[in-house]
Amino acid sequence: MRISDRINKLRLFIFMPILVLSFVGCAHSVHQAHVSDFEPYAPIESGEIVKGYAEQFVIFGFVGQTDYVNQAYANLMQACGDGRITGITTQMSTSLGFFSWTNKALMQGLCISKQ
Amino acid sequence: MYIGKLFLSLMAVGFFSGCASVNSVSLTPIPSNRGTVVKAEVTKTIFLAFNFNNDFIDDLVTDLKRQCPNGVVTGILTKDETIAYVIVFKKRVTATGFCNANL
Amino acid sequence: MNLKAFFLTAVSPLFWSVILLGTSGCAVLHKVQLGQIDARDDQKLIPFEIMMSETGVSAEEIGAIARAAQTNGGDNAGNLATIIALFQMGPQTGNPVYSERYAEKLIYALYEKCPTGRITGLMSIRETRKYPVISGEIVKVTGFCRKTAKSLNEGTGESTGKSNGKNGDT
Repeated sequence: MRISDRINKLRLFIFMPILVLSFVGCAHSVHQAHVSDFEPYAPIESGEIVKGYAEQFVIFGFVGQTDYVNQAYANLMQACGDGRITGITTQMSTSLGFFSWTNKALMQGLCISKQ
Repeated sequence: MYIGKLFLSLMAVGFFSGCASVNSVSLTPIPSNRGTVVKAEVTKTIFLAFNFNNDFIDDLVTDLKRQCPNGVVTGILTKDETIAYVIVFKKRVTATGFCNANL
Repeated sequence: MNLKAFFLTAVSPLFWSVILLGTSGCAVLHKVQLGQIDARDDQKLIPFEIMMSETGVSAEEIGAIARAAQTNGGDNAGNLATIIALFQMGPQTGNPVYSERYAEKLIYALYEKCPTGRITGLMSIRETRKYPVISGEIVKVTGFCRKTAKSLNEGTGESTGKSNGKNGDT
């Protein structure tokens, strides 16, 4: 066997498992993870971590609005009643698919109750 | 024939409704008093990607300040999105928050 | 000097340069955002860094490399990579990853670094460390934990300095 053939076989041996893994797994892309200010300063014990999540299914990219972001924002506030929310992390990601995908917005923060 | 019509229909939908996508989102701490909502929006239409400045964004802060004189705007959700119409793009930045006299 | 020795001498630096470049990776910055900085001098600012990452895989690059083998097997693998790319459509930042949850515990990591929650000067970075075929998809947050001189002397809780998140760096 020629050296070049051996290299080619080796290449396939390395990349085939990665290809198979790619085929069986669902792929995602994390676009950003933003952290807000911590205002007021408060230890984690002084409140509870609340979450706001929303997603949007898109086919072929045809979608006229991005209201899912506002929905996640509303969900976050709903989870904290009349408290203050500090240290908010905002993660935007997309689960990729076949000519379609799902955009996701996840917001988490520390909810500090009024009393 | 059928596929051609379907393709044309999809193109028409894309042309008139636009394809919206989010570029970035950020959020500042949310106050407990959420009675007064303030909202500002700026847009810019860009033809064939010919864009020479992004000054349109500057009005966003001015607008929020105008809506909340002598107050503090917190819990600001800033959303930067692009709406694509075949050869024209619309950039839209929206900021929504809450106005409070003091925190 | 025979041809073989000349070849080895000439090729070696190039080879090692390629190895060096290949292992260090190219850094791509996608987004950076800053928060307010509370630098009042009543407390000390202790810097910290949180890094969370996941391995990204580029189906396109796998396909290109497989096709370069110029064999039937290589072509088949290349075609398979093209099919996989069809299943990975959508807006992408860096290469696709197989877990989107690698940065979800960021808020807990922040409180782990600074249990008092007196956190300021935050900088959120989304970057990619690109290698051939794979990449490190990174979420990095740097900031400062405000500590009083008293708590510094007592050494209460707050860990400082550089460290990776649960997933570690790629």
